[in-house]
Amino acid sequence: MVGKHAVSSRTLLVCALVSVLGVTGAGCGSSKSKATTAASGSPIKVGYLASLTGFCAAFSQDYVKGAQQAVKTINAEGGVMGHPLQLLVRDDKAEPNVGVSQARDLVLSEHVGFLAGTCTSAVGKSVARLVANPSHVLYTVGVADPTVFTGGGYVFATIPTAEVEGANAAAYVRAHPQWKTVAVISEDYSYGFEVTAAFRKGMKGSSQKIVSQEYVPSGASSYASYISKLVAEKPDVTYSTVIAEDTITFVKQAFPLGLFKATQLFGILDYGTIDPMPKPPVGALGYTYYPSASIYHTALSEKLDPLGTEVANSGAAGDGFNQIEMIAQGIEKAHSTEPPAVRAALDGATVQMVQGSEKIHSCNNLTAVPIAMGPVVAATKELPFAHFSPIELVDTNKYFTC
Amino acid sequence: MSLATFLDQLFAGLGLGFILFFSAAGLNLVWGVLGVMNFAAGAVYMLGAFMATTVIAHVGASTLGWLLALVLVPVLAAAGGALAEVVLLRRTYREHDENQQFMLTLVLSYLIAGGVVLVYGPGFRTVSLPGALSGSWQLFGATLPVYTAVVIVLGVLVTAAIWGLLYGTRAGLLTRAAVDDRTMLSMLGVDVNLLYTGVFAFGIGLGALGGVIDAPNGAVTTNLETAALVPAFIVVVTGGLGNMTGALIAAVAIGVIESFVTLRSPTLAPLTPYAVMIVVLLARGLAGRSLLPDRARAAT
Amino acid sequence: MRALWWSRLSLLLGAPREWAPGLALLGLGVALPALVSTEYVLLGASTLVLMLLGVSFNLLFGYAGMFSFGQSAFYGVGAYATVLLVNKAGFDFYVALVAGIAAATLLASVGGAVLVRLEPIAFIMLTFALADLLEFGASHASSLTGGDSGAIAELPRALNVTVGVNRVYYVILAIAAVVLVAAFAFVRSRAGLMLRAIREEELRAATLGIAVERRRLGVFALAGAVAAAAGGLSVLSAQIVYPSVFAWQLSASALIVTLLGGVGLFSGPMIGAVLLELIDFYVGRSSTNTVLIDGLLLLAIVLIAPRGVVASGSGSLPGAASGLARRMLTAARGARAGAPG
Repeated sequence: MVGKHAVSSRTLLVCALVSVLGVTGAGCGSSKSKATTAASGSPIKVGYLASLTGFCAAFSQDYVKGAQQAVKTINAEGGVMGHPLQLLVRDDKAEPNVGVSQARDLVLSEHVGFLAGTCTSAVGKSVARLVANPSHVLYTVGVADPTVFTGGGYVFATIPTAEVEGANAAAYVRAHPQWKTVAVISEDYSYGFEVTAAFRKGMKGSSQKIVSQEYVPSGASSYASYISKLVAEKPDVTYSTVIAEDTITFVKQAFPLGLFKATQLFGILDYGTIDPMPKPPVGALGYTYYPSASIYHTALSEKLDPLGTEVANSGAAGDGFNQIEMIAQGIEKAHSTEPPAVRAALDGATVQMVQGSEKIHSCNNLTAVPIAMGPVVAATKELPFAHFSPIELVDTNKYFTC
Repeated sequence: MSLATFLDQLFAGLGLGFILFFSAAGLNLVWGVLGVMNFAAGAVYMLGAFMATTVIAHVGASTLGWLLALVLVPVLAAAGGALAEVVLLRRTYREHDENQQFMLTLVLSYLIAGGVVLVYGPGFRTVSLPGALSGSWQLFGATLPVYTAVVIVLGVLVTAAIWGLLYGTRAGLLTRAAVDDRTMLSMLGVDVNLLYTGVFAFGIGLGALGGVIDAPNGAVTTNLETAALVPAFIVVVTGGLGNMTGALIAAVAIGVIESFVTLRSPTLAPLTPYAVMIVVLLARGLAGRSLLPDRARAAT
Repeated sequence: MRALWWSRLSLLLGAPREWAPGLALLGLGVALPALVSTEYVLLGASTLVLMLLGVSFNLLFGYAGMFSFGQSAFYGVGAYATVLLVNKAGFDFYVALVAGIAAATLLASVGGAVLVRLEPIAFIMLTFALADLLEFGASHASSLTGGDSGAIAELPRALNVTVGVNRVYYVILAIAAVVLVAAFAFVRSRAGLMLRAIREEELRAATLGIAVERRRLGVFALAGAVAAAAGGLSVLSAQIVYPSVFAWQLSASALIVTLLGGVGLFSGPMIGAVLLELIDFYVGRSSTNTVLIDGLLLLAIVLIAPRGVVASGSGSLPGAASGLARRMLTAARGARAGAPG
């Protein structure tokens, strides 16, 4: 009911615009407490950056589908504080300048107060910079670069950073003392460097020896030389953070070269990459932090099911879903659509994600989502796709130093 | 370095080199013979890979399916290439307008890439090799994947076939003549337009063939376009425009060198094609030798 | 009397087609913030940057007959030098910009000494290789450059585009205008005239005593400076620098805007830049199959205006531009006969 304490959405939008331009405007203080409860009020716009060309184009469709599914289910249940969510999808081409200009356009022309998405740290970093100064747009994103997120800032993470990932991998390797020699193979860019550094840090003091460390080019058509080299070394375990499409190239070429007979493969094996493989690496030890629907049995994971088994389990869809849910829940908690209030509400909060209840750490705006780990098995009747069985869910709160 | 390690890297290098050759072969013909700098070479390669996934999805990942893709996809692509040539490029030969050619092949690459996304979506596809081709052999302690050997054999066969066509057939003779003097050829009563369309179509077909051959090696994504385009240009230029044997030698040399560089420095290995090209171009430049087809030597 | 100064001016400035559209665009640029909303002002800023990059390419391609596929190398040097000097050495932005331009000019002069002697295809591929190698270097020298996620420019509040869009826009416009005027002055000077002679008939120009390679080196260095200016200015609108500033796709954009607008016409790349930016802007907003729509629109333009939008429907200069192919082939044949390329 619109009353004298309610604030019209129009004023909110004007104030958001006014704040972004750094111009003072009358009536744009923070006195808005109870928002309107109109049944189908004006939409709350959320800008979504999808990398439809370039680096992660292969999974971008799934991110968008997941985000759209979140919007659909939230709106079906009455929206956010009675307002429907509206998703505005833009292609950032995995390029920082395109990402920034799309983000700016969304803020200036469409007056969005909330942004989500992108898959590369470079874009994430530049959009984060945009929303930091002046800070009136909230941004949820799933990238692994820890420098994108700061405690008290307007950017929130939906996946663990490379530091947490590497620390977890080191703990896992150390828990298997029968592996005396370790080889590390990762991709030749910032994510690979960060996760390897974190892994090495976690392995300090262990009697297990890291016998080789390689950075392979991203997007290469042939990893045969690197695989042959690994096979010759015969390490007890190989920790691999080759990701996305490169995992497919790597595994395909690893089979005839006998990698799986020469070493135990351990590494990031997202369902989105092993499921489409005609011949998945059965017996390899995998982990993933992307929320594939079949791993978790929560109310939110069930909402992914209408997307179909393939998309619901891709993990990227779950991440897109989580990004929208985080925004929606933040608004509900704050009882306000003003980004500063939502930011304050999310600071140190516990949110419901596909994986369940997860805590956002106040000191760095990172969410301690679990990492699912287990040996890869082939499709079964119950789960007609490659998956981990048995699955162990690691609580990553223990890797947070603050 | 043990013999096994040496052979391992040699096999990996040969595999890489022949894949490089396949991405460059089509461009070599089109650029070297027709003088068209085909920016769409990478897009055609990517298209070939995607089309292969459709064929195999329908026929099955058997040897039959794979062979069918190997034949059908290049033929279809060649037909498309002929159409594009007639509709878009033919006017540019008349006016000698190379600038328009750049733009048209660039636009063509956009259209092919956009078309692929339209039909297949931005996600990726995978195809597997038929069982018969997915094993490996042990040679002197080294491992040679069956498919690598297949790629090498195919590469040699394709080069031989092109050589045979260019030197053993009338069409090949006319093509080589057209490189030198198109006007004279048309005055002799040869339908040069048809000849050019044929060569362009053949070049596009070769590009698509490259994509089909590479498809089982990894994920088939839209990134294949850029991944194939740059090395193709490098190989063609290093080997000499229109020189098919030169392209083969350049591609294999780059592949093998890159493979051995990986042993020492995996980070620097991707720079190998650039290093080889720079050395060759500077050496040629100093010696005053041209990259364009030589009158006495013609194509190949 | 009036006729005299007018004819002197025409002689100085050349055909109106060359400079009038560009001047009109700059005039429009001055009025832009008063006419449109903020998102279009930002679009204007990035268009100015693209204009400079296109002009840089056109100086070489259209005026000197040199196809450089590596102008992004100098663009990137300008961008990185500006950001790194501001962030790490505490330079003032303007000083850093000038230093970046100087660095790129140096690189172009040193590299150009070898490159301009090479035959056209080698020149294309090696300029391309230069840009790609710099990209590799930028993404691997993480401690210096911030690696592949790039480095954020720590600009003062006065130059922060999200705080004061119009102010930063006018800075970009002013600097771009200065660079454009300087480039135009070069093109209309004796040096520019000699370059066109070289482009048309290289052998004859040499016999006339024109130092072909020295002239080419000069324009290569100038083009590098212009591209670096574009790169430095891009830092103001993007606020971040990352290895993709060296990407060959950017060099391709320079080519596209030049061909769209008109090769060898000074205003050509400027009009082309406006066209391309508008296309990308509207397509980027409305559709998610941007590549296909982009391709269709570009196809339409190329078919309607094959010589470029500015050049369409006119005489001698487009003819000269299309004769480039013939020159290259002739020069190559001459090279094969023994003379160095």
